[in-house]
Amino acid sequence: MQDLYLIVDIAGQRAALPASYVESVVEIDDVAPVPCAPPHVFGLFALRSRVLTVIDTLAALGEGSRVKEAEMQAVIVTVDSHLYGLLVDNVDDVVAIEGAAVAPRALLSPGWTACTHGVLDHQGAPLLLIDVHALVAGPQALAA
Amino acid sequence: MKTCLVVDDSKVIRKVARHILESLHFQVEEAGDGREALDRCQSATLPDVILLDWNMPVMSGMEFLRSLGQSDFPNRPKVVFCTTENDVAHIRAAIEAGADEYMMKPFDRETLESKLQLVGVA
Repeated sequence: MQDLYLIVDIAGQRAALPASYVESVVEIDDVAPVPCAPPHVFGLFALRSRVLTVIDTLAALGEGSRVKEAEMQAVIVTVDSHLYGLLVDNVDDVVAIEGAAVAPRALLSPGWTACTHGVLDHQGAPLLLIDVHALVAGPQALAA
Repeated sequence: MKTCLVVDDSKVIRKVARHILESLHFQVEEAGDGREALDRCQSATLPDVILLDWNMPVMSGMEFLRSLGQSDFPNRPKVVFCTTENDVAHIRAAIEAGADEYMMKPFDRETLESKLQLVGVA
């Protein structure tokens, strides 16, 4: 059985997002900061008539924090009926991959360890399968 | 082989839909907005079904539906409206404008297949 994934680059790492979470990919600007929010919450953004929470994926993974740019690429996902924009470095392609994720052979950072379901094999190359719920939850999931 | 025209301004969503539809043995064509979709419908054989996004630049899904309804096409294709809005008024407006079914985004293979079955093209 094949499943569909969106391949993205986050923190210098190629990774796969399950396509069933993905609503669209947009360029976002004018993100409103949220006072007292966790560090991985980059801010709020109005997408058409809806407000979404923008997630700094670098901060969520404990890999630093993203600098605000004029335009940033975000993958829009729905998690537990809430809308999030995951900031990514690059969006590559939509691919169908057969088989389940397996435990990674290489040592991952604590952030990636907490935010991945394992490794998928895509044309002989490993792809980290992102745990979208953990990524959205941020470093709290890492600390738990 | 049946044909599906996927109308969405998101290239990623068009690709996701294409993967699923091709696995369901559909021939897939794509349009990035309602205007492009209308031009496609006027210049070639009509598709069997149209997967139509709501919010798009140039011409929205709703504007496309109204234009399609006013056009004199002999065999109007089935239309599955893809939306992120789930309020009743929104869905009713789409159905009144001529949509045959609606589907929430994001969608997966099972959902899309069931909607295509509901409109009688799968």
